[in-house]
Amino acid sequence: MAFFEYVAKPTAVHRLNPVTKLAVTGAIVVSATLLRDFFSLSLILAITLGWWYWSKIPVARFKYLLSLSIATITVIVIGNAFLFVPPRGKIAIEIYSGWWFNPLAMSPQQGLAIYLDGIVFGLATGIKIMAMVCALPVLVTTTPIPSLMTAMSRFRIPYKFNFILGSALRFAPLFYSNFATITDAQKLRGHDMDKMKLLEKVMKGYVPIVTPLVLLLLRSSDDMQIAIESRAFGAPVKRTYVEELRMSRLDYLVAGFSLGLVLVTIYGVVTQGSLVPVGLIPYWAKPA
Amino acid sequence: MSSTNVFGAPISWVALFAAILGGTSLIPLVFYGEGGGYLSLNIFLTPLVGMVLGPYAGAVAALVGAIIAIFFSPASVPGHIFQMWWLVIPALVGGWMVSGRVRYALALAPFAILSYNIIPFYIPGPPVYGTPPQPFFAMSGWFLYIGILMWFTPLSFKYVPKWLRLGDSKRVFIAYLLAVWMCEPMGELLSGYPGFSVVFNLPPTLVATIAAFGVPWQRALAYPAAAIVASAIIIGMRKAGLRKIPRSILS
Repeated sequence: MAFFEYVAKPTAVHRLNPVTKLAVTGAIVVSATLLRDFFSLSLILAITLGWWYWSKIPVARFKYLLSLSIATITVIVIGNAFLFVPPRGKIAIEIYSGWWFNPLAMSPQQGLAIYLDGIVFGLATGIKIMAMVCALPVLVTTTPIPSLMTAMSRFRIPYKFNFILGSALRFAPLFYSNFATITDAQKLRGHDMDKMKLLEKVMKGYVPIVTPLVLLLLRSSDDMQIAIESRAFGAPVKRTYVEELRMSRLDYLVAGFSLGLVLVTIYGVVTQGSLVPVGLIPYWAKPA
Repeated sequence: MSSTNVFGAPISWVALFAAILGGTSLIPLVFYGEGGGYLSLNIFLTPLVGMVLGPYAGAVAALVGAIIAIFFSPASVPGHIFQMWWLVIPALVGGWMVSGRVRYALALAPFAILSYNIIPFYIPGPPVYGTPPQPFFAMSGWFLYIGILMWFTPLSFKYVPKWLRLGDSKRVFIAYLLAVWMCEPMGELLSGYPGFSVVFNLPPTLVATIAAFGVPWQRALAYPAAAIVASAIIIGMRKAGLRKIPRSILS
C-alpha cells in the first residue's frame, strides 16, 4: 500500500518547483478549511481534481484511501440528514408525525424528518474532505522527498523539523507494507483477522500484529539513526543542497493563482460567507 | 545533547512515531454517531508517544503525525488545523506524567475546562453562535471532566507512572487505560471541541448533547481498545531491549 511514494512521470506538474506545489496544496487546504457552503467547496474540489488530472496520477493507486473517505462521507451525510439542527427548517421527507423526545433540543418534539439543510451540509462537509484528501497525493507523488525538504527549508522551517516530516512521510508506506507482511505471516500461523468479529478483532486481533510491527520499525529507525550519525547530521556548518530549486514562468503563474485563490476566498468569506457570489447560489444551498 | 537528537530522543524515533500516528489515523475505532468523522487509533496512542519519547519530543512527533493525518485521513481530524492540537497536547501531558512533571499538567487542567466552556460560544461569542443552554452546557463534559479531575489524585503522580513501568501486563493495561482517560480529554477540551465548533459552526446545544451523551460510550469503547494495543507495545519494547530514553517509561 505504497500510495504516498514518488511516481516519476514526464508531466508539467512533476517539473514544477516543489515550492509552487506546496503553495497549491496550502491554498486548497486553507480554502477548504475556511469555506463551508456546497457550491464554493464544489469549486475547490473541481480545482483539486483538475490539479490531480494534470499530474496524471492513476486513481487506482488511491483506491483504499478514496473508498475509506467515501464510507466516511456516507456516514456524515446520513448522520447530518437526521441530526442537523436546521436554521431555516426546510423539510425534505417527513418520516414520523407523532411525538418523541429530542435530545438535541432537550424537549419533546412532534414529527421526525430528513432535513434538506442536513443533506446539503453533509455533502458540503464530504466535498471538503474529498478536496483535502485529493490535495496531498499530488504533492507527494510528484515530488521526491529530498526536493520537498529543500522546498520547506525555503520557508525557513527548521531543518530538523523538515527532516522529521520527510522521514515520517517515507516511513508511512513502510508502516503499511510491514503491516501487510506481518498480517500475512500471522495468517499462516492461524491468526486470521478477517475471520474475527469486531470485538474479537479489537481484543485479540491487533496485538500480535502491532507489537512486532512497532518493534520491527524501531529496529529500522535505529539503522537510520546510525546512518545519519555517520553522515554527520546536524554538523555546525552551512547546509547546502544537491538540488538547486529555480522558479520558471509557469511556477510564477501557478503560485500566483494559488495566492489569488486564498485572497479571494478570505475576501469572500469575510464579506458574504462564500467564495461563489451569494446571488448565484440557490436558496437551499446558501451558507448558514 | 547530540545534534541527531530532538529533546533527548533520537530523531529517527521521532520520525517513526510521527509516521505511526499518521498511519494509524486510517484505522477507525469509533464513528461519530452524530456524523462529521471518526475517532481513529492515533488519538489514543498519542499519550504513549509522549511517554516513550519524552514530553517535548513526543509533542513534536504528534505535531508531525497530526499534519500527516490531516492529509492521509482528514475525517480523523475533522477540525483540521484548529483541531490538530488534540494530538499534540496528550503527548505533552503523557510525557509530563511519566517524567515526574505532573505540576505542569495540573496548571493546564483549569484551562482545558475553561476552553471547552467559553470557546467559541462566549469568545468570540454571538452573533455567530447562540448562547449555550446553561447549566446543561457546563455539565455536558462530565465524562471528560472525570479524566481531568484524576490529575489531582495520586493516580497521576504516583500509581499510573509506577504501574506503567512494571512488567505485569494487567497493571500496564489498567495504567494506560487511566492514563489515556487523563491525557486525551486535555487535548479534546483545549483543542478538539473548540476546533470542531469553529470549523463546522455547530450550535452549542448540539455540542453539549454530543459531549454529554455521545462521548461516554464512544470513549468506553475506544479507551480499552487503545489500552490493549498500547500495553502490548510497552511490554514488547521493554523486552526487546531497545535504547532507553531518560525519564521515559522504558528507563
